[in-house]
Amino acid sequence: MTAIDDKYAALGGPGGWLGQPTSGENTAPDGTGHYRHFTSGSIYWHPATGAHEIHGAIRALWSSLGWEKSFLGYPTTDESVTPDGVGRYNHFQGGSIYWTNQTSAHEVHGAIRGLYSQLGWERSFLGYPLTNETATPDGKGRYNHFQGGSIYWTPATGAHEVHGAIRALWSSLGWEKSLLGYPVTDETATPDTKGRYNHFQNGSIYWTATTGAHEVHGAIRGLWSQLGWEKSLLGYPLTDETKTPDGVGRYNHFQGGSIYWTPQTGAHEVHGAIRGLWAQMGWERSWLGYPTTNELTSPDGIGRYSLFQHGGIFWTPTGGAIACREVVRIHAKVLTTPTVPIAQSVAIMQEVYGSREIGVVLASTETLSLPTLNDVDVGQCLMGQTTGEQNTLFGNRNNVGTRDVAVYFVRSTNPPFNGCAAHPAGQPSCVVVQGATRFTLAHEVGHVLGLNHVNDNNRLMTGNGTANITNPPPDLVASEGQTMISSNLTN
Amino acid sequence: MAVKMSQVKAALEVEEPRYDEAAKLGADALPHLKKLVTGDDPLLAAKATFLAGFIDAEGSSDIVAQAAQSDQVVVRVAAASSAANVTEADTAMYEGLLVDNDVGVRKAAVKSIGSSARGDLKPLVQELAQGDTAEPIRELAASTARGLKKPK
Repeated sequence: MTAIDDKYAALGGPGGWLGQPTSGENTAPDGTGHYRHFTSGSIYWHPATGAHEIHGAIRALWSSLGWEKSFLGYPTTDESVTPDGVGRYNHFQGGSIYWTNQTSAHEVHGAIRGLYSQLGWERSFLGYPLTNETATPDGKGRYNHFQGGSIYWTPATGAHEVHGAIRALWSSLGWEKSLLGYPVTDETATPDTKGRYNHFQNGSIYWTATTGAHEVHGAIRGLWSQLGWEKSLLGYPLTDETKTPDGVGRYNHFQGGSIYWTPQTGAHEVHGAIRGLWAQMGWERSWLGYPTTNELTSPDGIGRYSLFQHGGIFWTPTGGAIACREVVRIHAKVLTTPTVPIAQSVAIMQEVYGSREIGVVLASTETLSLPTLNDVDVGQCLMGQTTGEQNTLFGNRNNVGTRDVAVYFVRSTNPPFNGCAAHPAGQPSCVVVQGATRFTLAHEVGHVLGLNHVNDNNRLMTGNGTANITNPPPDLVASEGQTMISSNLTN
Repeated sequence: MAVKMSQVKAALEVEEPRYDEAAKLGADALPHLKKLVTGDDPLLAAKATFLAGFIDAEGSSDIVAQAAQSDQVVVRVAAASSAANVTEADTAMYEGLLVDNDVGVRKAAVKSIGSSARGDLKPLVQELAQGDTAEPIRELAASTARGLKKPK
């Protein structure tokens, strides 16, 4: 009696469902095992696996793959009922074949079978296989589709499952041939537990019940990641990456804002009231163009602004969002900290200049230790005339671009002024003293931008002292705005 | 008193006072300036000090000398700068300013001595050129001293 005979007897022998033998017991073509065929199936034996029966659709598939010479090798189980009671399977040395009446028989093996097993076989959300393991069209990977998803594998990425809405989007984009490439994670719950995602070789798909599934990739994904993914103020994506109407850039909208990208500007986020105004103006087709910065905090810690290709949008709690056609960049060089905080003076400056669509950016702040220039001799403070001390002081221009204005906060001037805007050609600068008013900075930079004194205490450029301004914030009239915009110091 | 405090303040509260214009207020402005020098606004006090010197009338030197004693550095700097405009600037005041613990005050004092050609103060300046703690002040003092002539 051989093991095959024993197995046959155990299954009922000639009266059992295998029926009558149709062959003798033979050595298998691989020379290591034995088999015997019966009317309704076969029994295969191998010293390592023992004797197991195989029949029906599973046997037919195994046969089509090459019997024991296939990658599956010899069966390690009889055909068994799956734990869910719906299907049948045989495990083999090199894989498994699963069958249901609905799905027919399909093999799973290797790393894909490993993941399928790890997820819970047919009881997982994947259900039963709908395909054998198949080479991907690009020839680089392998996959099985299942009732509830797919598992994709490459040597570089390993095996990962995709399913549901994320799989549907990936499929619509072209599977692994899409820009996303192969999955590098299984579908995973997001840290906030509200969503799900798969990362792919070249991007990600994020899904929530309210937003649906959307892909993010490239520089936009890079920025979103840097900001904190879905935990950032942007939240989850509401769109796939989309070409802008002008054909130049790309964007994703998110729950809490947008990220816009062009090759020239890179990727930058816009959100809140600034995004609202930009959208109202026509997005990138407005005169502002594309964002060139993320939303930034003003030096006072309260205001916010984003810079664009052709201007900026500045927001304050009191003034709301204001679009500015030009921006003046100032650099604070601090020899003595002024009584009115620089941030406060800049905030007021932003409000006043903003009324003429001119933005103000405090581009840098540097502390200078120059005790002998802290009470700087400014002579008569006449435009075009500077003293040696002014020239020395204004030579300290770290980070100051040729079209930027350097503001030197000093203890005092000789003679005593609130400030002085006289500066050498090519070094736009002014000084502001410790005891200056909150409007002095805006006033002096106004001089640097070409404005003269006026006899009107409602206006910033009053020659009667900004301490005497009667209707703060003071006015800049249209012609003054035009003069400032015409200056080569506003960009 | 023909000049009112409001006029004086109006002249000084501008961002960039025109001291030559403001000086036309004349000696009648000095009592107001004296009050402002001891007021609680250091910048206004400094401006008042400078204007008092610029007016250069009887009483100016007292106001400048008073400013030289101020607790506010910017007022002492203004006093040191203003001293150049005062015909009879007090030697003792200069002596105090030249040893002020603030480098800005000493710098302004040396420059005033230089611009007002106070040859009688050359020894003090030379002393500073030798012993000041700040190298820029030593250099300034040395340069200034070279330009001063001792009085005959």
